[in-house]
Amino acid sequence: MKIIKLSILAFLCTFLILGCKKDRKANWDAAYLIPLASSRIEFNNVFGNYISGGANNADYIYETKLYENSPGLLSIPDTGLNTSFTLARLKLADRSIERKISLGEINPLFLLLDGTTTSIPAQNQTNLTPFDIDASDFFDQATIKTGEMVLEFENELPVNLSLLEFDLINKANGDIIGSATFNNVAPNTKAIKIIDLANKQIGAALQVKIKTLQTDASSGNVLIDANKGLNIKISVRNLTTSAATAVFPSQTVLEQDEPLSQYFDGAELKYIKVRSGKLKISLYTSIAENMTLYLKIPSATKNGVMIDEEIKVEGARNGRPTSLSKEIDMAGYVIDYRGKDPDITDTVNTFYQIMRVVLDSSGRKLSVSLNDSINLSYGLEKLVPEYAIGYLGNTINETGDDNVPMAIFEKLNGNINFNNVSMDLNITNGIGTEGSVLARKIIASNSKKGIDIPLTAAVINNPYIIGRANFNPFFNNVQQVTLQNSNSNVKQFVENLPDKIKFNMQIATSPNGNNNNWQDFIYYNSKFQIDLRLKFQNLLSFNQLQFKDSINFNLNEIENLERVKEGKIYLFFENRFAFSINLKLAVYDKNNRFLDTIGNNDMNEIIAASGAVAAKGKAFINIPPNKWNSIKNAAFAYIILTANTPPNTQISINSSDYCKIDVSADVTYQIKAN
Amino acid sequence: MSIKSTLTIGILLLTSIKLSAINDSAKPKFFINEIATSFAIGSNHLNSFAALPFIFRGNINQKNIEKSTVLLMAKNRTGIIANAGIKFSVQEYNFSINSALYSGFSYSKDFFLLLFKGNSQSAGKVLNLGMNGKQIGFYTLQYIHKNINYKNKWQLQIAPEVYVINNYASIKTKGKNTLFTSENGQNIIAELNYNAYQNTNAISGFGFGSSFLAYKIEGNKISSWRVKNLGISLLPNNLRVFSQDTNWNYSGFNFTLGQNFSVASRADSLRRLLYIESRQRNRITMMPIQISYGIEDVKKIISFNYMAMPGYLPQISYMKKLFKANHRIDIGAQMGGWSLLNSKFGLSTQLNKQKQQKLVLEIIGIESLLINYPGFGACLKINW
Repeated sequence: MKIIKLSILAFLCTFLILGCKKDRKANWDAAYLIPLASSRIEFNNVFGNYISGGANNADYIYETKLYENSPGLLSIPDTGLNTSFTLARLKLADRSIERKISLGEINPLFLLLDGTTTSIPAQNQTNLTPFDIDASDFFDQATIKTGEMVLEFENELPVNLSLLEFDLINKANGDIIGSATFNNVAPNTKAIKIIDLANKQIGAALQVKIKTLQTDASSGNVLIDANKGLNIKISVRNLTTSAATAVFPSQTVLEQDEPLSQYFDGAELKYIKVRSGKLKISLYTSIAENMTLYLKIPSATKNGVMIDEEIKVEGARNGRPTSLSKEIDMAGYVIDYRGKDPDITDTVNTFYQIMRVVLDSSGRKLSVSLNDSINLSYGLEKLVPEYAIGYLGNTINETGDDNVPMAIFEKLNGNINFNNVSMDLNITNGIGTEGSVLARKIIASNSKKGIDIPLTAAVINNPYIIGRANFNPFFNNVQQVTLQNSNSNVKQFVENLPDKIKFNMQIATSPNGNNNNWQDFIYYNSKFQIDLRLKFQNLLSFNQLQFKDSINFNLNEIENLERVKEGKIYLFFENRFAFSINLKLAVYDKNNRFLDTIGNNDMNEIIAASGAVAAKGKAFINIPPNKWNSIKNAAFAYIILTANTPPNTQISINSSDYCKIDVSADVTYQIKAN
Repeated sequence: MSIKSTLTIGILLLTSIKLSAINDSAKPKFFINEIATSFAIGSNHLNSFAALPFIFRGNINQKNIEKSTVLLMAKNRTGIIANAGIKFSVQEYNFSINSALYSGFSYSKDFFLLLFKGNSQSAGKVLNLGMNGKQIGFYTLQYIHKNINYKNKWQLQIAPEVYVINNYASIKTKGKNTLFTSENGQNIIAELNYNAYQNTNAISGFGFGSSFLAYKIEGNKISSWRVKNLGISLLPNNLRVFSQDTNWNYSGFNFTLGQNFSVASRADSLRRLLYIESRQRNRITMMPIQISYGIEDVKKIISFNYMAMPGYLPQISYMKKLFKANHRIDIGAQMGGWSLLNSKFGLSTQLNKQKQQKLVLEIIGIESLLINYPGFGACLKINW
């Protein structure tokens, strides 16, 4: 039984082992040789971007921009007109109607005597039956704000009218619009009375109610003509309404004919040519009548043609207001800012515009009230000038404490000795006015060493005046300040290997005011620029000159990295530089904590070329197991190249020199079988 | 198969053994007929100590890898079989449950050197990487329909079976597969054309098939034919496919000082050169069919065996029987399969004559534990 139990136990053990097959892994180490990278280190990899350089003893030149201001400067504020108006400005047409009150209407007895010759006794009638007058030719209904009614009376009776008193009544409500009294109107003569209609509401149905009609007796027999009587002519004039249902006449409802001024922050402009921008016109109306908008800007011309726009606007329909907008591209237009009539009054910053809105009468009766309005706006928007001429104003720009990177030395550290070095400050003025530069300080700052070397030269703290650019043909005015050993500490300044140039400058335009009598100019591309130009002779030496560049070195994403145990990195090099290079890798974790340095031994030295003969060979970096942990935890790394020229020797670096490095890794890798 | 389920099966087995013992006098409803476990590692060159970690985990040291290169040939083969199973009866019905793992590989010498030693030592040489391999792990539930008599001569056992696949992987190269590493390690030039499949899900697939046993007894001589794992399986569960069919020349990346680059992304690009990963929804695979023919009499056992697995050659085995009291010792050798020529030793002990209890222990290639020689296996079996 013991054997059976042992057998069962053995069976179960085997079963367990088989059952757990997936957890089981055989593993072994193998050595793999893998190409990693090829790199070619050239002069500009180390010294940043130089712009020229050449064979032995040629100069290397590096340029960087210290300051640039594109006053492009002039900001043209949006400007224009925005107006709205209501019926306060809307007139009704002057119109007349006539009404004859015949003798038969006055007294039917005369109808019997019509055509006979008889004497007429004196008459005195009062409160005659009112006579209707149809005033629908004026309007159907109107609430008059201002205006008057003219009552012209002609006596066609064969007798003298000694007294006529009547009221003009709004038939709809019986309100008296006005009253008139005429005395002693001889036959076939006229008399006039004017009634003020202000603030009266008048309908189309009027009535004349004669309160007193007195006539004298005829002198003898006279011919009775029952059709003749009293002719009344009623006219309305100078009417403005607060509400009306009427036929409105064609009329100009808005007229602007005036210059508009713009403010250019101290500049006084005569002309600009527009590079981009637009004229935007917007109109909104609730009036049901069509309109025409006329806009002229005589100050804005393109190829000699001014802006002249005629825009038809449909009236509101079915209670829905009309809105309309239109944009005109202003590119290419020249705007004359000298005002309405420069020959008479030559001014600045002012352009001339004419605008008119005309109501186009359709002959239809329309209801309009004071609530109806027209809103109109037009404006010059987002104008960018191609050029501007005038006085550009005295502007002062302070850079404050600022700095620019010096790419040429940004990744270098150590000690370098140039045989000869100079530095130019190139000041470029692309503006048609004088400028001045006050350099308060220019500092070569090496932030890695924490050393600042201020420039000592005549240009520091002394205003430097630069002349204006030329208008036609256009060219910049460029002036150069050259700094050499003889007039500055430029050698010390450059050999500090600044990774930054710190500066504080004041740049002014038109420092002496309107010297050029409004003849300053500026183009869209005009700029004021200060460049620093560094020139060093290709004869130099260095000691422990260190180039440092960061790379993304997060290997955690690489699958099964933990299986790499140790390794060796081979560097197959071909070095044409006359200096040796030592290559190291400093690895850091994600919190920027230094972890380790790889390659800090003598085996990884890339030896210097000897004359024209390139140095070729193999260097290597050992990565023992204890370094692998650092590599595995790295998030980034610095490649550190340390270069040395042979002791006490100045070398030349040809721009075609390079150091080619082919990198491969020979690693021991643990393989696990599935 | 998880540890938990393995233990559950184990406990059930123990319980059932105990129950069968308690109710010995009663008519058994459930009875265990056989428990067997075995493993075998065959290879024409792979040192047994280098091979055993593939079953029992652990590190393969450089010494054993080096020893395994002595017998390396242009074309090589290695295989592993591990089995554990139980046969039991329920009433008059016979069943078996088996857990098995089959791995078989045939590969070039260079493939082995690249895999086990890396490419550093072969820099400057073109490596030919021909390779064909398959690994399948599965459980089998088998119903054994016994003794169909054929013309009173042959007894036939048919055993329909179902398979549950728990591990599947295969790889096959096509045409030329080469890899060249320049001596300075600056270039790797490869010509790859292969397909590989892998599914390591707990349950990777299902299948069905049958095993057969036909035997004839003539006096003291027994002749038998056995067919095992004649079946197919469907792997429906999102197979990972690794493949490549391209030529490439990798020389690292161009790195310019002062310009950003990511080391990790470069590693990815190298990985993409080695393989392209995709998914395949279904795959049908043949089970590792085994066909064997055996002749046994009172003096010897001779058997011929073949299995449809990569690298497996027809195998012949001869065992001389030696008897002493209730014990029998078999001594012989086998040749072929994945191996060369290995010794074979068997011990059979009658534990209880009345109950026909028998313990069988078999060890193959014991010499490989003593000298640097490939091939080793062991089998333990108890019959009731």
